[in-house]
Amino acid sequence: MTGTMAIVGFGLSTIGPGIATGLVFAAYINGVARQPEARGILQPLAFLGFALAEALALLGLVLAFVLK
Amino acid sequence: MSSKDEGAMFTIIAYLLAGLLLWGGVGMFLDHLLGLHFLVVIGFLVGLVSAMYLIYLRFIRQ
Amino acid sequence: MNASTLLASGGFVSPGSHDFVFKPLFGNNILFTKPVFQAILAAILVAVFFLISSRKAAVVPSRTQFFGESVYSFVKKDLGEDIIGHEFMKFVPFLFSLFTFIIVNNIFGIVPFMQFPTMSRFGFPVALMIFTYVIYHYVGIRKHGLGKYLKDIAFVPGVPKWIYVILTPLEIATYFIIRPFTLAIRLFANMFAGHLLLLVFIMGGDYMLHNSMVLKIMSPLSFGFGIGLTFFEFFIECLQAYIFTLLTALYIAGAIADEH
Repeated sequence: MTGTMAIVGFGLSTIGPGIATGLVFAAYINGVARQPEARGILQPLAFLGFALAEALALLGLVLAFVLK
Repeated sequence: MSSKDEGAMFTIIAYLLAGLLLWGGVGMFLDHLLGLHFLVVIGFLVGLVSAMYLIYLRFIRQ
Repeated sequence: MNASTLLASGGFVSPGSHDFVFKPLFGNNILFTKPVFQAILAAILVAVFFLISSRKAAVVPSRTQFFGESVYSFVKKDLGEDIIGHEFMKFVPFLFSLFTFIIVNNIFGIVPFMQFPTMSRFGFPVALMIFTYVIYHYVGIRKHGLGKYLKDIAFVPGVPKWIYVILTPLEIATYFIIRPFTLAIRLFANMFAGHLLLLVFIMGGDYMLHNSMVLKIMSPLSFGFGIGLTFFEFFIECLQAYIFTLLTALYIAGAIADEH
């Protein structure tokens, strides 16, 4: 087998952000379903959480290519 | 979740990726030019923070 | 891909990017390979089907007319009207042909005897992306004028002046490079990975079937996964066609919106 361990590292680093994104949007959908008028307050918070979680996944992607 | 939300999600990913690639690339180029090793990390951090700030400006600050 | 070479070589040849390279169909003309043939066939299929379904339009629709009209009204309402707004009608033909062309090409990935999603060759999504790219910048520039359009993209209002040094290159890179390329890469990577996944399970099952007794017993499991993943692939293929068209509509909507 050939390849770099960096790609395995990227695979591992996507697990956490994947779960985090799921949790963020699950909570967002729950909140909006219970109280549709709270959407305006919840939406920026959901985007903030999504951006913070997604940053880690993309950092993993970029580092996998840089740290060969 | 409306379609506009989905668009915002994809744009957030694009901003983060652009920040990392652009400023990380600048850091890598300067590393190559000056013979250093740590500027690429600083580039990643600058890219990440600036992309976060841009996301805050575009989507979170209403 | 073919069992005989697998058996002859003895070991398991894992599927990889070499499974996506095709020989030219006629002679040495590299322009005409299986994916190109599929793309042309998809264009002909879409055109013929919607010509037939709309030719004898009646008040009480036939089955073909009903199907054609429901696809059209889905694109027109969900992707056009809800996203682009009151100017949506002039973009509906483009969105509609984009959606139907991509979905037919993707579904070729699980049609027997074709079994290759055209969009898993990177050139095809890039060509579609160039259409989208030109159109959404063109309508944006025509609506706002070149100066105002670029100013809206490059300068976020309400931040100190010196921060523009960091933010403006980022905005330019996002709008002109990253966003169109992620659009093409998303479609390409989903089709590529999906096809590779199917190849792994089907070829693995095939290899195990021609091997020792223990592996023979395990091979139906692999084939079962292959069949299940084929249905999953069908779902992914429809979803990716939808997402490509959705993002095209969102980019057009963003370009002609009054403020960003």
